[in-house]
Amino acid sequence: MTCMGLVHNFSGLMAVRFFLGFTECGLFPGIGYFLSCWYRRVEFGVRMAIFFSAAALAGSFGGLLAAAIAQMDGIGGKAGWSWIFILEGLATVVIGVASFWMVQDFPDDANFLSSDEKKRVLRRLAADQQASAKHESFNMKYFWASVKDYKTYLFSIIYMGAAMPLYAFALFVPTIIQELVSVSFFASLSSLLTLCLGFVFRHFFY
Amino acid sequence: MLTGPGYTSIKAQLLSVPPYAAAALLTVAIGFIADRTRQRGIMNMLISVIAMVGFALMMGAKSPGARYAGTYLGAMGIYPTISNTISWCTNNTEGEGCLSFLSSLSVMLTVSPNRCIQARCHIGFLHRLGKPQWYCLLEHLPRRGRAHLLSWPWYCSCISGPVPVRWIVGAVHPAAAGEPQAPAWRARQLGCGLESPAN
Repeated sequence: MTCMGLVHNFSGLMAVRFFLGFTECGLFPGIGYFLSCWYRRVEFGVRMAIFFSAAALAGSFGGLLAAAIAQMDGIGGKAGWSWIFILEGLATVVIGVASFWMVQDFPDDANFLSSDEKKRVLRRLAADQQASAKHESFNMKYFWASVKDYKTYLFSIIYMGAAMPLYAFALFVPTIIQELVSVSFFASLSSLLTLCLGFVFRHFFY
Repeated sequence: MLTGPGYTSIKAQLLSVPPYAAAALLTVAIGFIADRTRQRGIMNMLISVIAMVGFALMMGAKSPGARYAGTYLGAMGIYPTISNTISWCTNNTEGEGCLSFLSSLSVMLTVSPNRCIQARCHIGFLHRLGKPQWYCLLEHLPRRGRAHLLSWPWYCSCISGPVPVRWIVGAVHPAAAGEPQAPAWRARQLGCGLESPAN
């Protein structure tokens, strides 16, 4: 991501994008797996939802952040868009390095839990019949079991149903909003929206 | 009022905040409700209906305001479905041995084609910032309507997907109902009933 701010031609961009995709693809299933090692099934949904709502919030404020960073256009001989990639990529690198120490693999070897707490976590997981209650290790037979499992493909289809529109949406929301902004009568509508939001917030928080 | 490119672009950024914020709130709310009711499949179907209405508005509405309203419904329909589907999938693989592989595989199988679209999205973004020629390869992005129309079949899979899943499970473990403490029964309580019987 950081390197994307430093590329100078199309092949360079494609190369860094390849590595971005290559290293990034493990994150989402990894987080799902990680959370499932710590929570019971009925607790998992809201945890996953909170994690994924961060993606929605990134969509929400990422544009504003990018617009702000783009103001750095020209600093250090770099264009504004380069700075977007450099700064946001550096934040990822810092968090990535920190997570070596911050992320604990399994409850039974977590060093931030006392032995009592560990026992409690493991008992909860065992009551939910989760394999992470016993320390798991890699075994190729799990891989083949999942390749052969029809559920893999059913869930793939269902997940496609959710993921394809996501990207179509992300791609076209800017266009839709641009069309909206260019319409003059909307100026009054948007201030109305702001007023309504202000009312709601005052109503609930004061 | 202030006019000019700088003002409109900041305003455009501000306008993109509320739909995503609404989506974030609904994502957490649906996660909570699905945990409580243990009905992830049904939640998926309900939210997909919201998304379909939103996409229909974004695709076909004449006024820009209505299309913008569509982005609210669209975002509120998409984001909860994703985390809900992942939770559902993970719920039904844990404790069996296949574990994370199933969810990684299914995410892998579906995300790769989407990445292509997202790459387009990034490059389109650079293009809008007015960048050099080589960024403009994908200048001729598909029309909004066309892409949203393409999303519809996927939504149908999202809505109809849970039906065969439940049906197959019913066929595979018909006896599960007779033994209320069996894992398959618990899994059915999670809205899926996909889990294999106790080993």
